[in-house]
Amino acid sequence: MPWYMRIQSISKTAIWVALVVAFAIPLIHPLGMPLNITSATTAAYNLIDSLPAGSIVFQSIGFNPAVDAECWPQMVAISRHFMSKNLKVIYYPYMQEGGMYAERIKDSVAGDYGYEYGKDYVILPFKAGGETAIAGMKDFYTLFNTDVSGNSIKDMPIFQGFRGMQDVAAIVPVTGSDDPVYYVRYIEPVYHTPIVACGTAPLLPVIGPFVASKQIKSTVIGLSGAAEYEILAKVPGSATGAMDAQSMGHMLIVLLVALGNIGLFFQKRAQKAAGVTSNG
Amino acid sequence: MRRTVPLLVGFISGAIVVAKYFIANKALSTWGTNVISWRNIVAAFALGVGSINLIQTHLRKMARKERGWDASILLLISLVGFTVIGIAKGTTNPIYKWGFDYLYQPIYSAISSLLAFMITSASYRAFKVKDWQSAVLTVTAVIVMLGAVGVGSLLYKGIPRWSQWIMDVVNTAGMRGITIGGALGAVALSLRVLLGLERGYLGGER
Amino acid sequence: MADKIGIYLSGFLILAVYTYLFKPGKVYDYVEHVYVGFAAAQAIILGWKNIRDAAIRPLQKGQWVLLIPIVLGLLLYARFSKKMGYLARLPMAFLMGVAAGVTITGVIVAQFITQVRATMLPLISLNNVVMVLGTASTLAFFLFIPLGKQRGAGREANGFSPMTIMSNLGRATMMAAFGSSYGFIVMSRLSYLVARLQFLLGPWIHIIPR
Repeated sequence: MPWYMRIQSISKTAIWVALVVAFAIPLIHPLGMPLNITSATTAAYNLIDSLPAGSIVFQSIGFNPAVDAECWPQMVAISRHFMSKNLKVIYYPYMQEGGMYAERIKDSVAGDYGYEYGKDYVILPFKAGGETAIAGMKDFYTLFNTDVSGNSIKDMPIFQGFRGMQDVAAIVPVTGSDDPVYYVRYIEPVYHTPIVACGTAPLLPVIGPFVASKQIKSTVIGLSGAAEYEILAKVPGSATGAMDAQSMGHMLIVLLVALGNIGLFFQKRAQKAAGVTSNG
Repeated sequence: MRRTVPLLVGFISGAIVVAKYFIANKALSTWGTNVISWRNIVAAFALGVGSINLIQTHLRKMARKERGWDASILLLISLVGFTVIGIAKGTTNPIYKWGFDYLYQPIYSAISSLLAFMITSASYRAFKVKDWQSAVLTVTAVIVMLGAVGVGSLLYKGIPRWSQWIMDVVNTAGMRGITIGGALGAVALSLRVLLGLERGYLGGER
Repeated sequence: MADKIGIYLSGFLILAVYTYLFKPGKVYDYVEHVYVGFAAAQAIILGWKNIRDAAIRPLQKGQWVLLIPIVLGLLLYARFSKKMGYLARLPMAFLMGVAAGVTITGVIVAQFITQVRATMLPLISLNNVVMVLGTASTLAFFLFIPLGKQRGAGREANGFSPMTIMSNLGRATMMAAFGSSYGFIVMSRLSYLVARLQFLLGPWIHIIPR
């Protein structure tokens, strides 16, 4: 088989082994690659950092274990930033699993900042309506009258003087789903609340038009976004250590695409030279 | 009658929500709010429908000893066990949390990580530049992939800037066209649903 | 102790899932069914909690109007009966009708008017020109007849028509948009594997420090 055909026929198993090795080496022995801190993540950090102590932030949790590799480190870094700034946090599980991730914050992060449940933060219950639940948030106390455990929220200190979404200083969805679009549709036009959209990398192309039109103020995207936020907020996390591995994975894919196309180019040249019409 | 009444219910409930938005009237506003909150309750009932279907399917599989019936036993043990714990003791119960942290989450995240293997081998096979359109697709994908991580700036210091430009300008232009087109489509489809022209969700004739 | 057992079990479950790469078999099957069972349990629990807190408890306090959504919700289960299955159409129509009404009110301002307004940029920079032409050509591509299919015109005649130019421009913009989307999808999928390997090499077999 000519060399240009062989580089187009690398087996799946060889590719998968190369992928695991490309990830494992930098995880075991970090390579120290640079991490560019994007203007988007910096804007997100600055927006939250500028909120006065005591402001209420609404964090919508729209991810599940399928995408928690990107979203969980973001949520931890951002929650730590909230709590270091003495912001009050309302956690809303947009997806079914969201409540469990909020419980993890309760168990592993809140205590580090002396945060008290019901006074400094609260976890609302999951609502099955999805988009219509967010649309219904304009009448906050019609939609929510209890927290995730069924306790009445009206008696909780965090809700004293809280009229509804108009009193939220920032909406911060951390998501693998489309809830940022729903906050843009139903909450932002009414209350002009700043939205900082955080989530999986494929979210950015979808919300790009809303960022350009300033309906979403800033974004924290993907595992690299989580790593950038960890550095900006000076909080420890797993994302920073994963970026070298991420870089090697991207390099491997670019290399494989290049090999495939070099092979195709020389294959077509050889076929042309042999006077054969190639069909690709 | 069996289709007319549901279509009427759909129209009235949707019309109340639309009217609440456009007409400033206290009674209409209250009814609109109620209808939206009722939808969340009905949607909560819908969550159980899929699970009951699942139970039916796997019980049938076990009864007929069809292929994979032994795995169905595990499914039903997991389903019933965690349902009982979750309803009786709540989702903050240590056993339920343990199940989420050490059974559900690792399995689900591992299944989604299989995509990394698939996307790597698929990219290698599928990303072949054959015409100008595939060239544009490939070049932008490569620039964005390299620009998103540290290795891009090591290869060439302009790559992160180009990647940012592609995302901020070119991608936004393309996705904005799709967003606007999608908005028109969503409004058209919603109007069709309200007016009873879209009936697929009602199922077949009975 | 329970956490230590959980961590070791998690590692084995992750490796069990990866047996799918070699040969999908019983091991993967068993592990997948455990996860599906938990997911279904979660749906039932959260559905029940929603119904209890948003409907049953207020109903017990005298809000009788909530009988309407409760009855509609129960009618959803009529689909399991061959005779009474048609009754499930009522709650389905209610769900679809409210969703349609909500969508109309939300999409028009946020996704249409604001986006169109944001596209009306002065053509004084390359970025603005790309933005305006790219958006317009993408919309034109979707809304009007694509290149080569115009009735009553040959391919040669189409070569330099305004529609041909817009169509090609729209395709180029979309290919660039899809290319960048693909780049981000790759980034996302790779990070899922990085996180699993971080767990296996870290908390599971302690090769990398926490």
